[in-house]
Amino acid sequence: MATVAEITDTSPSSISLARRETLWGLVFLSPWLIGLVVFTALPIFASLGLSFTNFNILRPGDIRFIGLDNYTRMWNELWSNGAVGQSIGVTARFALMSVPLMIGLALALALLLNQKILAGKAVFRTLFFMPVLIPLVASTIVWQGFLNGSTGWLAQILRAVGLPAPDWFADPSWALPGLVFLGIWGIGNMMLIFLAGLQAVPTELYEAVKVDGGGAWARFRHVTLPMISPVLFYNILIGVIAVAQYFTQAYTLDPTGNGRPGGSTFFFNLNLYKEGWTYNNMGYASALAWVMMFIVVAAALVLFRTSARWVFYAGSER
Amino acid sequence: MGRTMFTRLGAVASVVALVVGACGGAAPSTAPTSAAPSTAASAGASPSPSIVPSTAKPGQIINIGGKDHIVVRWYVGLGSGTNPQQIALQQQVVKDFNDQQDKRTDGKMPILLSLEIVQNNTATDILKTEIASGNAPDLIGPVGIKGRAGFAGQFLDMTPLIANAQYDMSKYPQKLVDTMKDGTTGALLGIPYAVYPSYIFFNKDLFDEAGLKYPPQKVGDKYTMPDGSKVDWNWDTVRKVAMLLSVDGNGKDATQAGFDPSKQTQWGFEFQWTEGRRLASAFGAGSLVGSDGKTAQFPDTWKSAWKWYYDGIWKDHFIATDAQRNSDLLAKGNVLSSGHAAMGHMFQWYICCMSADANKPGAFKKWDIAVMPANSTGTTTAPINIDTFTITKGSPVADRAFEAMTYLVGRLDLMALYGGTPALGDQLKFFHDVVDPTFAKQFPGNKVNWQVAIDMEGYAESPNHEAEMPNYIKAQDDYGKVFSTLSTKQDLDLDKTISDMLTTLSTDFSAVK
Repeated sequence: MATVAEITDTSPSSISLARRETLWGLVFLSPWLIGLVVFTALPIFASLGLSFTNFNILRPGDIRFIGLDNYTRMWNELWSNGAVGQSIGVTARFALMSVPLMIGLALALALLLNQKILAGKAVFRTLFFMPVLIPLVASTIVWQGFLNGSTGWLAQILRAVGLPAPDWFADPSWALPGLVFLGIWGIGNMMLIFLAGLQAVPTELYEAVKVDGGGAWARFRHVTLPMISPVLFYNILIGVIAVAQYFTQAYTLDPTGNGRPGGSTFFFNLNLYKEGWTYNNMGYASALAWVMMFIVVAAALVLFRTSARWVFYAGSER
Repeated sequence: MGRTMFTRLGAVASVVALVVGACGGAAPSTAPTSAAPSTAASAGASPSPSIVPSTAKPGQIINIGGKDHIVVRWYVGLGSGTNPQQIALQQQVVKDFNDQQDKRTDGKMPILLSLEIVQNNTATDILKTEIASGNAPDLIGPVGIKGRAGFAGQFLDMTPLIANAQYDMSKYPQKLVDTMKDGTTGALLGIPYAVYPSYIFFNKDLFDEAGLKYPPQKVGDKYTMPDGSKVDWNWDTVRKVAMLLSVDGNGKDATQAGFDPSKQTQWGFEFQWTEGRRLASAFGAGSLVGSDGKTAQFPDTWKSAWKWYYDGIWKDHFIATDAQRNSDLLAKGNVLSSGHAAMGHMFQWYICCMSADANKPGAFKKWDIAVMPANSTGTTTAPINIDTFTITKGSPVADRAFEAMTYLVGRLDLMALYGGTPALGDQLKFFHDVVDPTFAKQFPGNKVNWQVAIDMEGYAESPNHEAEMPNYIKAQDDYGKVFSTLSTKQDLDLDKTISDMLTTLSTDFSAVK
């Protein structure tokens, strides 16, 4: 163990040792650093550069700088009922449906699992978390069967009680709600984060509300919600980012990337994928990716800016 | 200290190895290939010549057993060729070819054929990446017209190679050769290899159960209706028969009052894994492209085909809706094999996926094939698929790739496993010797009249339903989107839908400069 004298020693030999240790630290970090630079950072910056070109993957030799043409095309497509407008519309509708619903249900489940009187908490926690472990492609295929309007279990249950069974993934008006359902199945992760937040709320605060004559709603409104607001904020942010990255489930439903049925699941990333890999317009696809990144950054900024009003950090000035 | 230094050096070496491991071998993730080990490229070693690294560059010279070999890379995945049996046989074919090359005495450098197999769902993307990185394979196939279309301008016109090699093309029917040509440039992109005619599949068990006569197996033969009347075998007759074979949970057929389509358990007809042009071409050949090459058109025959299909789903209920088609009852889209479809349009390649578990209750046991029905003008058309091998434009060893290709097109055992029928030779013998034994276990005692398939080749459509059109991928996508709504959307105004689609397609076609 180093002594105080060794630590405070600033002689040239000890500086050299510190440098050497830093160097060795970097050496050991290098696989990750090299991986980050080569496989993440460089492609990110390359895609920015490519977004100002006409890069076609089948004709790489014909690449040339076209300025803002890709962005202009995107702007035009946004307002001319083109693929960009359609895909942003689908993504936004899905975000509005799924994020609040998933946050609400995850919080409700976490509240249930946080009850003292509930027996077998560990079992429920495991059960609710388990779907998270199932690969997205597999769970999408399972849900396709479950929600099939003809022979799916849900359709059969609904029909058995005399209710009409929607065609979910075959009906353009039901496909997005179907995907929301699928998303809800995987809220275990979000629920666990809420649960961790709930378990960190000091019990004396609840007792104080009780002493003041407050009921369950008052305890939730004035203690639970403010105390877990950082966790709520985090989950909303992650939820928004997840919607912006939404691809696998929609692509599994329709590997042609057309967002079947009738374009109702044509998410922004399906459009991006199609432009890049089906139509070979990698330059334009890069521009789409950067616009999506700016949209996510803007959404995150709005959340951060508004968070000062509703997120409570213990120990902060507010 | 020395020990510490030794440990550190060891750690550094591990780190370097990790990094090199991570960065090296940037070959795409693929299905198993014949590729392996680094041993192949090392001089002096004498492994089997069929073993060659998949990262070998086209035209690379590799010394094996003291002898130089020139690498020709063969890419599989755009069409058939990725199931385990096919992979095994392809590896064997490569080995046979390379062994043969090693024995050549004409003074030419032996070819080392290197096999790269990529799963079909990622094959297009991976090939594009290889082309973009200047690492394109030399030989690609088997691939059909549609598979090629995504790579417009990337394949070589083989006319000079054929002339140089004095390869006899006259032995192939001109109709088949024409399908090998690029619709825009006229370049010959391949040699006809595997032919997949189409016909009507019918489930004998369901016909027997309904007490109906089987569909005709010769063009021009009449169909005998339940009342004994003899009628033409056309699409209207198919509709009538298919309705009789569409049954709900109460045992009522689609012609009877009280038939409940929401409880349907059996369907009379299926266009399995179809798409807009393919379906329409079964009613008569046509094209989406007008004579000016820029205006979209939709022939009246095709309009009637789409209407027949749409009404079959929503009005007459003899074709499954999209939801029904993807249900467990209809084998999640593999409808003809589900045992709940009485008839369907089937291509020869479907024998790959024809399955019926004989032990499963309700599994069908007897089936056969019938001729395509005629359209309203009495014309019979049987859409056809043809696969070939093609050579990339940038291949530095195109002539050697052509040499390898002529070997591959001669391997009928491989073509049989792809599910095709030979473009040349005694096809009926081929069916009896090669195709029948594959069904012997699955459908014991079932006899299929393969002469129907051979006859249907003579009714192949021209232009082909996969024929080139301007802005192929975008146009295909756009009409595909519209076509998919036919099985998902009830109460469509079909005329308006088609008219809107033509406006979109005209824009697509005109976008090509």
